[in-house]
Amino acid sequence: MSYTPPTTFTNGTILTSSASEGNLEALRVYLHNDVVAGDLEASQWIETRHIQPPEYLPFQGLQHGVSGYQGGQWAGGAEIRLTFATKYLTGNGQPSVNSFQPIPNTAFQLDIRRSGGCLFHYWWEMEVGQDDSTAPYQVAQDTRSVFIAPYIGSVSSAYTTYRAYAQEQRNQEYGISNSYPIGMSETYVQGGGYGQKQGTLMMNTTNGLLTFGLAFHSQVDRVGIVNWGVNVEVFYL
Amino acid sequence: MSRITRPRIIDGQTVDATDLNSRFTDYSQPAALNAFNVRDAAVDLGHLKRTSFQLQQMDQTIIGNNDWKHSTFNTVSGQTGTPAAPHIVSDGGGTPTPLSLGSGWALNADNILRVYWDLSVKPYYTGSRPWANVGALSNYIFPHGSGSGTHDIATGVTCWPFWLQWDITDATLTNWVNVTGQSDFNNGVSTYFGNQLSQCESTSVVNAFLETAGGPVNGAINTRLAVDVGWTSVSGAWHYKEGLGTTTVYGLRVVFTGVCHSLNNAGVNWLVRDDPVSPSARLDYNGGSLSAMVVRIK
Repeated sequence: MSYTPPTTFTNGTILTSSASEGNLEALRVYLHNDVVAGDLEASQWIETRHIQPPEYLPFQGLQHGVSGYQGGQWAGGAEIRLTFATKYLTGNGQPSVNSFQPIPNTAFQLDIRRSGGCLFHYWWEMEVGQDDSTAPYQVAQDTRSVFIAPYIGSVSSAYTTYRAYAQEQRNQEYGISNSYPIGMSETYVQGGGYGQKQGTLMMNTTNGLLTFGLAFHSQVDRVGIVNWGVNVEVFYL
Repeated sequence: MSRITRPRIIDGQTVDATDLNSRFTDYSQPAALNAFNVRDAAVDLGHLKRTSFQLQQMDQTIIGNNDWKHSTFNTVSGQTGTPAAPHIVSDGGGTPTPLSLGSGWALNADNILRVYWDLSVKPYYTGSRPWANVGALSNYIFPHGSGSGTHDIATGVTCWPFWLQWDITDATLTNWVNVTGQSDFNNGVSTYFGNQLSQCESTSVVNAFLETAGGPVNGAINTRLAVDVGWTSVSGAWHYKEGLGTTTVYGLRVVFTGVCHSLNNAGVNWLVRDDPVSPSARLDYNGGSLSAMVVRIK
């Protein structure tokens, strides 16, 4: 239907901001959704060159337009961009260490043009261990885990701000049949050493450069992150 | 329709209703959207002053017992019979940890509610191989590899289901009900209680336990090994679009029951509680997050 202002103003009455804003809001909704053919001039009056396309950011896999950013990147398929976590960067399995390190390939930085809301989606699949090492200063073999947390801003915030968002998976040796998987001749790994995880992180932000990424704290020597994806939605409006 | 032109409003002028109305009704005229009035006045971000137009609401909270390295955690047991009130994800003191939406978020035909959550969990069991108890759905029988006798083994299907509840009554958050498309696993079928899959629209599951078969040969097995799942995490996502009416959501929370197993009854797939197994099932859990947003879709 055509645009109809909700309020018709009358001389001698108080002009309120709510009535004025109500008319503008109705105009926004109309232009967003309710334009019908009769509202448009019949002859062609717009061409492709009049439309500003969204900016495509090939490295980040994102599009940036008037309403914000949308998109992301992923591993590209099974084991194509395998990435890693390891205890050798996070305290060698000592239980008292709390450091997080970035996971290679899983971060990107955006130029946020206006304050808005951000939704960071992430997921990964990983093979954890097996870690049979016996050094006594470590967490016990059957409880060693790898923790993966998101961060927005600095990597250190994965621990200081976002450690409650960490999701973990246990050392593989104690999740499958006490040996390595040998394909179809043994029951495939179901939930013990092999983990598929997903999560989201929301925040309001102002304009400026902002980094999104994943970080790990590992008590396990070798962790292969065989598939992963990091995606973001930024809403300016 | 031609070019819409109105003189600039200047400080000190008297507001005149006719002029003010015309500044809106200019766009009510047929064919008002043309090269002069739209194309050449191209819209860009600077023209759009209003915030929260597409993203109407957004909020997130930490749920459960927030202790990422599991120094402390909550422990619950499996449930049997009916009605079984679900376990509510709570903090270390036993207080539920919902996502409170204050004075409420209004859902209508123009927007959609998106919900995401995750939680660190550790499923395990007490005693010896409870899935082998009489009448359990969670047990499966293989021929023994020696050629005589059998080996029973866990099916690997047994799970803890988690789902979402919301309060759509008021901000007191005392009127929790299952979200649309979700039931509470208390529906009777045969001798069991659970949900049809069509009643599981916000459900996510995590393994209750694992038992693997060793040395399979032509459908027979020679060994088996039961292992705990260990600390892991479970997560879920749910989207909801209101119909023609309006619903106001005041809060969301994550609840769970267990342990459950698949069941096919009269051609319908169910997820039902496995009562012979549930008393031995345990779930430790720590923290996670619960996020929600409302986005305009038209």
